[in-house]
Amino acid sequence: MSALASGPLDLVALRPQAGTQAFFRHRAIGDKVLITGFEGTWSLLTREEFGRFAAGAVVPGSELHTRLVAGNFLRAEYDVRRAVEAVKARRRFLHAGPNLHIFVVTLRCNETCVYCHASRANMDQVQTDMSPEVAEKAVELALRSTSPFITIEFQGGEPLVNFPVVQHICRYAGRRAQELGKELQFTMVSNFALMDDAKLDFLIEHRVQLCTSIDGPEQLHNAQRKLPTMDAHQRAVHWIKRINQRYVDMGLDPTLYHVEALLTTTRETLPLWKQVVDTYVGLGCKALFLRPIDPFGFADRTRLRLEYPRSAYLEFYRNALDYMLELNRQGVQVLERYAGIFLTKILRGEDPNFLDLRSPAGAGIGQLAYNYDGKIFSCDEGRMLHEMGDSKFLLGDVHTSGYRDLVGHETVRAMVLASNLDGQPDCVNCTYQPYCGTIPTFNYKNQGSIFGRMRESSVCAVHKGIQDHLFEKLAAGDPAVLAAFDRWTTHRPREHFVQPVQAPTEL
Amino acid sequence: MTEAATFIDLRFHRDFYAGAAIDEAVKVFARFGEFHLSEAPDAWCVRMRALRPAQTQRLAHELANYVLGVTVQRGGAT
Repeated sequence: MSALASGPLDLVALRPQAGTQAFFRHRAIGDKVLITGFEGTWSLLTREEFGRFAAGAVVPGSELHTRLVAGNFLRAEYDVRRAVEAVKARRRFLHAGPNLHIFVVTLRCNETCVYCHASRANMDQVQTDMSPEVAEKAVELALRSTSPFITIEFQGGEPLVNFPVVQHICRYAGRRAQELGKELQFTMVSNFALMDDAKLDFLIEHRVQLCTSIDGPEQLHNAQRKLPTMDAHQRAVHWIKRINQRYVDMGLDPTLYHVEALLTTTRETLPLWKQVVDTYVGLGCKALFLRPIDPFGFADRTRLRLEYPRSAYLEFYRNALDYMLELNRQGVQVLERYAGIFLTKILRGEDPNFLDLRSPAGAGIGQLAYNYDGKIFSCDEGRMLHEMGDSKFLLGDVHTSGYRDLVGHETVRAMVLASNLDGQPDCVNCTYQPYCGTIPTFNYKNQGSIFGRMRESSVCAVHKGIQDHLFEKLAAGDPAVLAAFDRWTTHRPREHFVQPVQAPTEL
Repeated sequence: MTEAATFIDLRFHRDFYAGAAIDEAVKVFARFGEFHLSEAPDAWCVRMRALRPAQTQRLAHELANYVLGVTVQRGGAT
């Protein structure tokens, strides 16, 4: 039987001959073979073509030779300058510094979610509110970042519970950013249950980008995100529609300006992939992030009830993605964020700087998390672990730490090295290495080491499974799918959410 | 306080760093600065300053990188 037939590649029979190929990695995708280069170029070869490539038997001047030269896969024609520029483009974020600053303005929350990642506190626990003094010191640290663009993300608990401090931060940071010449943006992750017209007026006026959680259809959402009134879904939906209408009334493009919603996938979600997508589309959402559940917060305690095999998640993902692509074919524009992130790296050669899916990860060098009490962590997951009693990712506090102390912290150094896939066992040989990323806190929580062991890592399994599916789509070459992928990787900045140069009227 | 009296405190978490790596790094860098080693329940601690005060920050960065490199070479913290 030929080594080039379908099934696993028989490399012994292929008789690979080193010497003509540039550095590459390979992986079977259906009846083709994907090769990726050091700088992230890729090509899908037939097995016969791969056999010739591996054997060093590509005829100069042939169509295959031309294609391999175009991908920088042949040593004799290797364009070092092009490779350097490509790697620089993919790692551009390394020269920035932390751009995402997560402000946990309170741990108090009015909802009780079965999977709560944030480690909430009850509504009477007012000692878990951030004070204005701590908030100002956190803002000063955030604005000392070497990144020219700063995003302050209000989180909790439920940030609307401590709305006076949210307002104070908006005013104070807005003024300080102008004085310091920093580009500033605010986002808020809220369940909206405590939203009212006055709060919304303030948030709209101060250009705070609003995000919420929608776990799918009403029954599932209300079962997982519990309010005493059991109407969490209705309240979230009510405010999503109100906010989206406000953007329309302001003359903003609704395809760009709308409430972003986040899904947390539990075991109950898996069979409901179609209903989940339909719910998001029905709400006018243009994006859906099919996130698997995290092992942090309450989710750690309830995971026996909520968790699922990653193979089940990947089946859910493939079903949902295929359905979204079918909707796109019918003219409904909705994108899947995981796919958008990977495809931007694969098709555009750029990194969208999603901090949990880049190499090295964003912990400490792309983001910092400020707890209500002034303690500062490498990332929000590090803060969650602290709330669970493990403070390994605590870097300092707003009262005594300097910016350089934080980003140069010994723990941040270790996390950066641990999440640099150029040195990660298994990842260095993975075909998807140029597009992937690992999360040190996740590795630590699940496997006891910030380096992790990728062969046993559920994150690795998910990332590989998603990229397998995307490359299968690319190999199939359906024009409608490729057109959707092109839209999903077209970056359209939301400039309205950037703070204006002029101070707001009430300052 | 004079500039020469400024020390930098480094904390190498025991779960991420090998104590032997810190000992090795401090020996390598000993001729460039003053180092005081101690232990906390969760971390190996180094209080240090460079012989040239202006180089203390840089020396701290170099020492931290060296400790990390040796830790990785040893196969991890344990």
